Amino acid sequence: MSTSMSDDDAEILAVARAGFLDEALDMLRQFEQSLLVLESDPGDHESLNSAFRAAHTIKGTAGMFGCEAVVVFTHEAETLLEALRAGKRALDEPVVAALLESRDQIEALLDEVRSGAQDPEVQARGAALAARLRALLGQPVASSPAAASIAQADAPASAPSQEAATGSPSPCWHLSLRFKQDALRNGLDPLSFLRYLATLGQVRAIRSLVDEIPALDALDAEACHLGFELSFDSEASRKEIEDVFEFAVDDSDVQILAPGAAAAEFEDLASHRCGDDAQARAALFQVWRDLGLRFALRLEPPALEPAPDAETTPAAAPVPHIERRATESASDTRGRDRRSGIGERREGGRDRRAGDDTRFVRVRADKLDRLIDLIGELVIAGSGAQMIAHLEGNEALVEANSRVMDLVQETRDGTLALRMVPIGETFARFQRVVRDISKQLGKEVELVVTGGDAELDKSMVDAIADPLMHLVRNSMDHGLEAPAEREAAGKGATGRLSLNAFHEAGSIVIEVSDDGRGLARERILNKAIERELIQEGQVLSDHEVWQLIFLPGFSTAEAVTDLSGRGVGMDVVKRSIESLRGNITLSSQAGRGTLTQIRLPLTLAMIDGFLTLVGGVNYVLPLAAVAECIDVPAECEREAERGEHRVSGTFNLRGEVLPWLDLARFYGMTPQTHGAEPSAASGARQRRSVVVVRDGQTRLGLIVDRLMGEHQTVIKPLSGIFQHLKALAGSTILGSGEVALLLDVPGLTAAAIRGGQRDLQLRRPSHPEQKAATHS
Amino acid sequence: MSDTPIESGTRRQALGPELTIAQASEVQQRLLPLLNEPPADLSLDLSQVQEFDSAGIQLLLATRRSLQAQGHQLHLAQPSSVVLSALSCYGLDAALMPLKQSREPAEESHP
Repeated sequence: MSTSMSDDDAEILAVARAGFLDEALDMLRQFEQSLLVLESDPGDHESLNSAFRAAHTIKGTAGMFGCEAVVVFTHEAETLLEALRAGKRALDEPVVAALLESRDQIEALLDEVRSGAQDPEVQARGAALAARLRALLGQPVASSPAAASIAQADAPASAPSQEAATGSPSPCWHLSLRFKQDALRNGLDPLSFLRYLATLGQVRAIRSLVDEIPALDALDAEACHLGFELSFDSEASRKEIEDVFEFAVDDSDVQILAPGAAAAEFEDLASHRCGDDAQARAALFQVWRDLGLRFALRLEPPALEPAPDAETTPAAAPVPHIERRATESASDTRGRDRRSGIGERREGGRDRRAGDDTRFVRVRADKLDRLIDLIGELVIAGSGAQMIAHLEGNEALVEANSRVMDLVQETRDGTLALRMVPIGETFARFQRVVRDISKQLGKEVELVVTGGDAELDKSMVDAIADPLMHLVRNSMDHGLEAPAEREAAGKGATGRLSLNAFHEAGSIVIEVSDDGRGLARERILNKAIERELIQEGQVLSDHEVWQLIFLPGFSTAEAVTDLSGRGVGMDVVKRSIESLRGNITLSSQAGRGTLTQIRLPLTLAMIDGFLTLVGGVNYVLPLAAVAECIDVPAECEREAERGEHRVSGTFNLRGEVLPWLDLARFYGMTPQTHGAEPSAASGARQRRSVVVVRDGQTRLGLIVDRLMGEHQTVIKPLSGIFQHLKALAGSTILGSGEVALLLDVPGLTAAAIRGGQRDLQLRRPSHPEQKAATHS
Repeated sequence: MSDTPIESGTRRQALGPELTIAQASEVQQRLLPLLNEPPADLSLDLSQVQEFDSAGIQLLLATRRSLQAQGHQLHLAQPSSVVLSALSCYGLDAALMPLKQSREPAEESHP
């Protein structure tokens, strides 16, 4: 098995292993969440069970994949959890802390499995942690049976295991394996059998009989000298266990004793293996003892002569043990009860998992992406068909096409929904972060999570995790005060950090807020002046002041210490949010706290668009951002006529003053007020329109040449050379094959508010249509 | 293999990438001379071992036995995950990798 593996096998194994790693990470998440619940509510049995099941599942699957380090370590955590479940150990803070660290350690071990690397530091940490877990269990750290291992062959006189007996072990099968000389030559590797055996249950303990192996010079390197004694915990039948060794029937001698076998059976086995060889018997008994089998043999190696003949043997294996084992196996029900109890537990775990938290089908992300790409193409092709149907003027065709488009739309929404995940999972991760950081900083912080059900695209969830982490850290580091300071300020000692999410106008809004000391306006201003980001004496609104924090060059390490507010790499946060076509805003009240809002589109792939024509170029607005369409108000016309080149201004919409932006001028084009269609060919000035869009709380009027109606839009990213076009979010292809540019509403809003700063925008020479055309 | 420097009383030798029955005799012949002139602790670098089976384990155990007969130790340096997995399957990691013993008692202490 280990010698050669066909490529197919290796591939299957690799896939299965990746699946295992994914599942294990899910389980770790469950593990962590349960522990965090337990930390605040130690009496929550369901969480305790959930944590135990998670550990148990990780251990089980890790065993199947031969990830021994994971198995060994997870077992330690599981053991402690078992004791907690049984009420043998109270659940207190050190326990939770150690278990949480165990979670990190298991993750590190899983990482090693993934990378194939071995980090001695991880190993050392694991050893220390395992010792701590055992100590918490109230168990001797050093003297457990395995410590003796086969090393006892070198030092047979010591048997520390005797004292370390941990109550009555659950009955296990006992397997005694001897492989014949030719096993290896015949391609039968005992290792393969042991690994296969491990799929039927758990090898509780194993001893390799190394004494049989000669010194190197006497070794026949191709002959097999191996033998094993092992305890095997499994619900498999004897037949199933025997079948494991079926292929090796000619090259091995396999003896199987049922769980709770009587001492007499072991005596028979000893006779079978060693005959009357006192020394061999002594060694074998020692091995058994190390396996946790108790015959109460007195340890007097030189004098010990077990079983010179049949009569004395029972005496050598003293009566009490025989009796105990006899009753146990006689009232077999007890043993079976116990085993079936375990069975129920496992079964229960599986049922539960099937029942709620993991009732999912795993799909490879690239398959999903491919599907979404295809549907994108379908949307474009559908638009094309619809357009042709309209041109043909065939009512029935238009009708049929519109039905098809409805279905395409539903399919699109459904497919995109496949990629949607609730943000709650991401939020939940912060429980741990907040816990750890607050301990580290000596602050008391309560994390309040709301709106975890709000969904957004999986890729967004992944991309948002880091910026969120940054904001949370900042809040805890700089925003929230230490308990004493809070009390002095008349607030409760425990700081409050909130994560919230909700949907708004086709976007998701994610909020990080705290009730800390807030931002210090004056210090931010001073800092900005010092760094020449603003002019001295410039008057800024609060909102503008807060946005200064996001400027690159403002956030330096120095700023962190100088400033009571935040400032660590906020420009990086802003950049990563903007790369997701989102935006970030911040507001603060001195002494009351700070609120950071991240607004993100729900998906990066497709949107319902609103198509407009500006200067002969198609522009798409996200339909969700469009509030209404009106005629161009008279004041805009007047303003436009007064100053030919006004790009923006303000107008009155039912008593509310809104900024407007003339898209044609904004992009350096001549408004085409003469439509290409015959109706406008008369030369009469065709009225342009204003599309009122909203960006969060702000509204903005966009003057466009023509309204073209709704359009399903598959967003294609703009290539790097268009990155500086602030107000463009992407491009799309219309059914006719033409290119349309997707407008970025927040970018337009910002531009309109800045007011006619045309320098930042595109100039006449670099016409977007030409660019897009060359691009496509 | 001729290059087996002795540092602080330990001779070092790397094995692999295959350590299976197919190479067992050859590896045995490579190891034997290392035991004798002059006797010293032996550290086998197993970091590169990708293929490992019971014949490989036997070689390690036999080498250890020979070394111990001389009063010397066998160290396994940076065993690859393949090796570690096989050793722990056999319950041998404690014996062959004494440095890691502290990690060991896990398996049997709590049946």
